[in-house]
Amino acid sequence: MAIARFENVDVNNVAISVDDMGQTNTVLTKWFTTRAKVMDVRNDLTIPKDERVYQNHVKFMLNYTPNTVTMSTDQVDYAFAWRGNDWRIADVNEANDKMSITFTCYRNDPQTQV
Amino acid sequence: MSQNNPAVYSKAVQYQLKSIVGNTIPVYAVFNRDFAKQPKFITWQLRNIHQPVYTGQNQNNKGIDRPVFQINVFAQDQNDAFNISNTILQSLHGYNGQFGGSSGFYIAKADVVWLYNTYDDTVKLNHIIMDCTLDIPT
Repeated sequence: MAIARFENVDVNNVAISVDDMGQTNTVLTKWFTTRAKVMDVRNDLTIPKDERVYQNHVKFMLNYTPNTVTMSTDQVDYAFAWRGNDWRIADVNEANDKMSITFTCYRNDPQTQV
Repeated sequence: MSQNNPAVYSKAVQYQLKSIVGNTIPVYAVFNRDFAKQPKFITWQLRNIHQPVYTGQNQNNKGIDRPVFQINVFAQDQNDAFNISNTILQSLHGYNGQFGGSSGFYIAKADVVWLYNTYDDTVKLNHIIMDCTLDIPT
């Protein structure tokens, strides 16, 4: 029997602040902690020319709630914290039966020369 | 004589522009990453720090620096862009006194040159470019 994998994730608000030198900084503020169904963890390497680009992908399935609908409406304003990393939302799929919302998230590692 | 710190200049420029345009119009150094969502904002860049100068209200008042900062006014609405540039022009041109709040410095004069207006089609924003030269006495 397949095992559903539920793990703790934090949902963060993503905002941009300006410091006293006029520099913009991304500020992550925790909104809530929840348990997401974690699916399709995938680490991907592409070598476009003479660089290696690592991309990590994961899907988080959450219940369809007012909070997750807000995240679905404006996905750039939210991020997930999972396994100690910051995951930004790429795709959002709301289930047609309004039972769940699946967020496809990504994280880029630094680009490295081959 | 030690030279002024460019970091102090940048903080003072940020402070002064914010105090001129108020809280409704954001001010950034060089680049605004949130440009797609903000209908009007200002960026600035510093240049020409440490020029060999003398300046001031009279010739005995020697200057130690004459930095220039460029002010970029961006707005979706052309009327907004021109009016924001006017607010800066009226407030800054000919100004002498404390620049950059309590942690800033005294300036003998600020000269603003309203250079030109243009339109950036890739970001759909009106753009007005101004230069401000600060005369900083010893």
